Amino acid sequence: MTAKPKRYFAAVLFIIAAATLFLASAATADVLLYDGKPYLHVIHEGRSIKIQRIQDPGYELKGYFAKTARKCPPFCIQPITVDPAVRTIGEIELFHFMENDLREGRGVLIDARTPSWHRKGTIPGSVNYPFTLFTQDENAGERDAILREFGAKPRQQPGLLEKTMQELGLSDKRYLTDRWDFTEAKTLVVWCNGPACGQSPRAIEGLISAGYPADKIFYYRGGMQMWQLWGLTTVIPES
Amino acid sequence: MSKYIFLKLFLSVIPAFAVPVVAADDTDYLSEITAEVDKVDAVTEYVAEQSGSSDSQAYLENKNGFEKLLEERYHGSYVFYKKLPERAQLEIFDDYRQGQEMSALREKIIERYMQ
Repeated sequence: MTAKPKRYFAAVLFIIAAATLFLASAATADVLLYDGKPYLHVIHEGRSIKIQRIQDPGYELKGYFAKTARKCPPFCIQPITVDPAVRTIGEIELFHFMENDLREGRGVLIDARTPSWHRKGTIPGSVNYPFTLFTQDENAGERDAILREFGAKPRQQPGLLEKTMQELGLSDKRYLTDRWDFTEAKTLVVWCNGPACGQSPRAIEGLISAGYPADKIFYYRGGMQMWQLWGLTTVIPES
Repeated sequence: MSKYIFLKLFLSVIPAFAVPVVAADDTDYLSEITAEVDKVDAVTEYVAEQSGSSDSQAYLENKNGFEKLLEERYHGSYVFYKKLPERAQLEIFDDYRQGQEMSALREKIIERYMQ
């Protein structure tokens, strides 16, 4: 073989390899999170986790979260709205939350299920705060600690000047309660097992009765069931 | 006059019935969702390797027992406890073994968590 045909042969091989690689990479990006977004990264327990959808078009959800029927009560279909002032969100809004509020430390993604559920697998970036922390009086100490962690500040008795200003409507008291100042409080996204799960609605109701501003709380109703139905990445918590 | 006495009696009796009903609802809900979790497909759960002498095994078993107690009876404390570093967990457990009261242990867990 002369040098020229050898060069052609190598070039053809190179083109075939490049085309294969291109097709392969195109194939792996077929199932996007949403248009133009193949994946995103979140930090979970100190590790960076890539969130993407399962690319196998033949994949079918199996197991517990594929079931259509569970005893009701307690596993009843939940209303779309937990509280008129709390916004219910879907996956796209959750992706945006992960990439903005969560990444910048302005938000907390709350897995409101009891620890035994959480241990079975969770949405990356979530922290487990079981709903019982917000609903049971015996957990008042823990609840106060968590509220501080979420950025709420315990409030002193307002001074005369502050009281007068509030009464005259000259200061913003939207995020103030008798006990807490929620002005700097983080945005929360609360979720549980899915549309038939009452754990996150309970957590949200508990947070609201503790004074947490409803406009800083979001309800991801789809929960673990919808997350898995879309073939999105889940993680097994280490702690 | 007697009408008011009956009214007062009636009003004083209502909370006695109402409070346990609410508490029971919450307990029932918790026990039902806890039972349901067993139906979720088994996943690979981390199981700490237990090695060494029987003494250290007994120690670990006791520690597991303590954690189980926390999880079942003091949910909030359990969540905080699990977020503590290993060293702080052992400190709490040692206090428990020495007979420290549960309320004091729970406060200590919050303190360590907030540090």
